[in-house]
Amino acid sequence: MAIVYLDEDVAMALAQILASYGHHVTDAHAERQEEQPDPAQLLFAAQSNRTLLAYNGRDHLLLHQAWSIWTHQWGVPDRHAGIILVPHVRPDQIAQLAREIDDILTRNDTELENALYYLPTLGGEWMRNPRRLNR
Amino acid sequence: MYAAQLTILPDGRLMLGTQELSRRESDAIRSNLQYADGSLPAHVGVQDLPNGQKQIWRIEDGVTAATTWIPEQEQAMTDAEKHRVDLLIEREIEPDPDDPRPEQARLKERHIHVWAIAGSLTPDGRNRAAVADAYDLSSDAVLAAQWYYLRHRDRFDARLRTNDFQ
Repeated sequence: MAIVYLDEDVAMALAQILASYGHHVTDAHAERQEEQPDPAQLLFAAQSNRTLLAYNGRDHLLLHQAWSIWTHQWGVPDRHAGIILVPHVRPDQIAQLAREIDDILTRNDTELENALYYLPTLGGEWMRNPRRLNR
Repeated sequence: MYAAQLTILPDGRLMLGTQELSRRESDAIRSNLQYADGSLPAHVGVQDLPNGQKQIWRIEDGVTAATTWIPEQEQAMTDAEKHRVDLLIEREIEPDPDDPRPEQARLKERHIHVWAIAGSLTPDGRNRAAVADAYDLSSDAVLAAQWYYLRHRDRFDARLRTNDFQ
């Protein structure tokens, strides 16, 4: 099962459901990281080998691309443990979102290391390492 | 009472007559007035209510499918009521130290950004209790976030669009 690190703005209820599926879930509040900006959140997740899960798509896509390009260019071996971007949902949709996240985390062909997985809409298709986010 | 044309803007928001609607207002109309095939009526009936709210309904089939309009509630509030909202916001919300723009403000409780709460609320805001439960927040914190969102709606709608949730 995956080790997932939730960005500070992700609902606690999502963490609880993912944990009930057997994933190890922690968040920025529990790790006392909520004062940290997004780049520091990604670094924290990478250094602790946790997959970062967040809502704010464009910010994290930019971070992922910068991470990938710059570490490659500089010959730095550091890799992050994956970023998962999901649609921002209402409380009554959290259970469905959790099922979709569990699905991508448990698929045999999912390769999270240094990858970004993006779910544009509930019930939509997961995209791996998109160059841009759909609107 | 009058009829107004309903058109879709390139970014998905709606225009009521000549008035551009916010994303939240557009969502409210979509969730209440769209047909089974997902299309919207070309024209709707509009009633301006004394408290600043609007009621909107489909004309074609005569159904009074009054939508829950996001109320311009402050227009109908007394100065004392507005002051209570001011105090609530002051008590519950603070600027993000890394970005002082209103759309980046956060709750003092658990430091969750207001946009995250605003994006979790239904257009009519009636799911406040569910949002409070989902985020493990007090109801006052969610109410403050809702008011703060309404006061800076355009900024928050633009901020939420960068999340690309649809």
